[in-house]
Amino acid sequence: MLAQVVLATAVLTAPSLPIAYAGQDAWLCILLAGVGGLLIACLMVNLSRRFPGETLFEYLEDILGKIPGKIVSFLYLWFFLHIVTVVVREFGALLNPIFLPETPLVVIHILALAPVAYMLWQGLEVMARTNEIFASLLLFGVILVILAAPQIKLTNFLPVLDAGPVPLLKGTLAPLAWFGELITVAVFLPYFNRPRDGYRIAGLAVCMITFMLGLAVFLTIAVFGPYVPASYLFPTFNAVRLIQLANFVERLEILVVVIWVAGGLLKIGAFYWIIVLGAAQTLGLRTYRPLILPVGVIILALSFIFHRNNLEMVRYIGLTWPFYGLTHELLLPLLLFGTALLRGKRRKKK
Amino acid sequence: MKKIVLLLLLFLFIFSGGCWDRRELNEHAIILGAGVDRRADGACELTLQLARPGAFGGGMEGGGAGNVILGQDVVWVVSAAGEDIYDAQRDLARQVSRHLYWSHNALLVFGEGLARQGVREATNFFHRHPQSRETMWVMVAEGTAKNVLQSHSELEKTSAQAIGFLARAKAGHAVKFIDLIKDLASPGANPALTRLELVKQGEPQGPGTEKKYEHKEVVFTGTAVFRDDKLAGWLDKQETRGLLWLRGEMKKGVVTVPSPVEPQKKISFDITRSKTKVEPFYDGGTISFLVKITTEGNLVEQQSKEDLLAPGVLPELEKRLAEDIEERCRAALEKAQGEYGTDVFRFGEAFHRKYKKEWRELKNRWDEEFAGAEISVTARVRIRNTGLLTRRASLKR
Repeated sequence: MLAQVVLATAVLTAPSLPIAYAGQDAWLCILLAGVGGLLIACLMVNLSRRFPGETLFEYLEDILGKIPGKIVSFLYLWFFLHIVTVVVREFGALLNPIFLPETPLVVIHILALAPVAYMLWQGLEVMARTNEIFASLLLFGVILVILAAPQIKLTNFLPVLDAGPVPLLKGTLAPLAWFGELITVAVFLPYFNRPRDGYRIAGLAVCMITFMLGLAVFLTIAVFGPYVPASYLFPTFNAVRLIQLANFVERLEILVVVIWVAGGLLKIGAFYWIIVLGAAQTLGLRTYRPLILPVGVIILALSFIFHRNNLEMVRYIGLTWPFYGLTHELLLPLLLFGTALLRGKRRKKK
Repeated sequence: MKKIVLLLLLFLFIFSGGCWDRRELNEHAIILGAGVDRRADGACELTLQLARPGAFGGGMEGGGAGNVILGQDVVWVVSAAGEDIYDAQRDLARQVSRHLYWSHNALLVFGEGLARQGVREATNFFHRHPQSRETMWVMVAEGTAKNVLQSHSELEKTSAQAIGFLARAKAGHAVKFIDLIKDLASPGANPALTRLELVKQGEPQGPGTEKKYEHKEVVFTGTAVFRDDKLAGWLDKQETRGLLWLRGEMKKGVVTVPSPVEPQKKISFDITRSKTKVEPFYDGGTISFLVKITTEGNLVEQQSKEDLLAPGVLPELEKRLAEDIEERCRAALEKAQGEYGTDVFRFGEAFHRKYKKEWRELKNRWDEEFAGAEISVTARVRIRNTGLLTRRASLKR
């Protein structure tokens, strides 16, 4: 589930950015980002385990006190809202120009949000179970890479470390910010069946993400080489389009869309859920259900206001998001962690 | 309450039926091949070969030259000019009653004139368009692309299809759209595309063709060599073989050499597999390449009399074949290095792989460096089989 939170959208768009900076060494970026992601995830799990049974939004108040805690909570809510609008917009960015060119974007966004809202109404368990089914679709991804084997040229990866360390680090930032989305573990943890397994699950999620993102980057470079993919909106999608086997196994990109739609819905669901839950907890509501509709409308509206066109979205993901994201994903948690340590706060034992 | 909701839903289903982007098959004009030319006034001319589905029906003679017999044309070739390709396509929309559908387009032909001015601008539309595929073949027509698309094939239903089959059969050097883009984007490579030409080829025979007519079929006649995105010149059929060896793309083909004993008689060798290894060397001043080609294949025809079973005959033959391959490679190299000054063999990429630091300085003037590079080719041939015969059977011994 956690893995899906990051993967869903990243897997299609991921390769562009690191390849733009690091060329054929982009796969190293993903590995580096994976290490960073593991650190972020462990940090959050450690923090959360000091406050068993509480979500991020609840223990923020424990750490910082009531008013500052609420302010930071709102910061996070705003941040998650940003994420979810990007996801919604990306969702539309693939479906709209390629498959439904004349359908208004807003309709696609509504169609994405409506089932998710229904899922949230039914509760977290429904979402988790849906995820179990959808996650199996990721297997398709592995199969697709195998099918693309004839197009793969391993020499595309040579020479290693061509660009030098600086572009490599630049290329690492954006994927690192995606891995940073794992801070959501701080919200999910209290709802795990066995919250004790936090580390194991977070670690597993990081491994899965690294593997799948690595696979996407591998496929893209192996097929296109280091120069072309940086211009693609969805490099993985384009790579799968090239699959041609025995003159009849071709045009498999629809499988990618299946994965994309399933994953996109879940990712939207996860962040949507975090927002309504967080808002309810911050505002002291007993249930988040009354918030589903208004938040949905807000997401819909913001997805247009924040990203007026797809290039604005791409620029945002490439230039703004790494810094904006990492502030919330690394800096703030570190500060929180420090404060919690200093003030020796733990949840009072019952 | 529930009933009202249900009724409302039902109402919605009935009256909002259908989807926004639905388009039935019979509203599409399926594009089979596309050509781009540059007209004298600078306008872009787009030529499309559209399928006429009605004529495809039938199937009573199982394909073949049905169009001639039935008097039904299988394709309709239209063209229009515009400021850019999309503009031309919009203009076509006024002539074609259906919605142009790119997904099945398997062929993109550039006219010679456009190719000389540069193909880079002409690729963007096809890369950006969601329907158009990166796997289509890209070729250069001798003359105009329009001419090539207006031709028809005797054996296949359309000329675009025939070209596609030829390309797939590796009848020459065939390049997919994505490879063209990769070569354009890479500083260490230049594109080389198939050259198409209309050639008077055979006479259609049979009961339906009492009325003889001039028939010109599209044929691969070599390779168009580019420097960056501009057509620099042509390689003929022999040099194209060299290009294929040097690019490591030789998958099928024949090598014919004179017999070592009787030079006027020939021996042919059919390639089954082949590998090319390019190794660059750089000492700070001169760049040199060592190309090693290893080939396996079968002896398929022997006009001369030597006894293949005798010791030393086969190795001698293998040596001759290897020399012939080296000769073809040298011919291609000579043209590319000397006459056109362009690296169409992707040697720059091989150089980049080994000398990444030096590459940074050299890559901006790679074609000049390449033209001055020393390139030696060594081939090794292994004859694995000799068909159903060992030595010649028809000789009186």
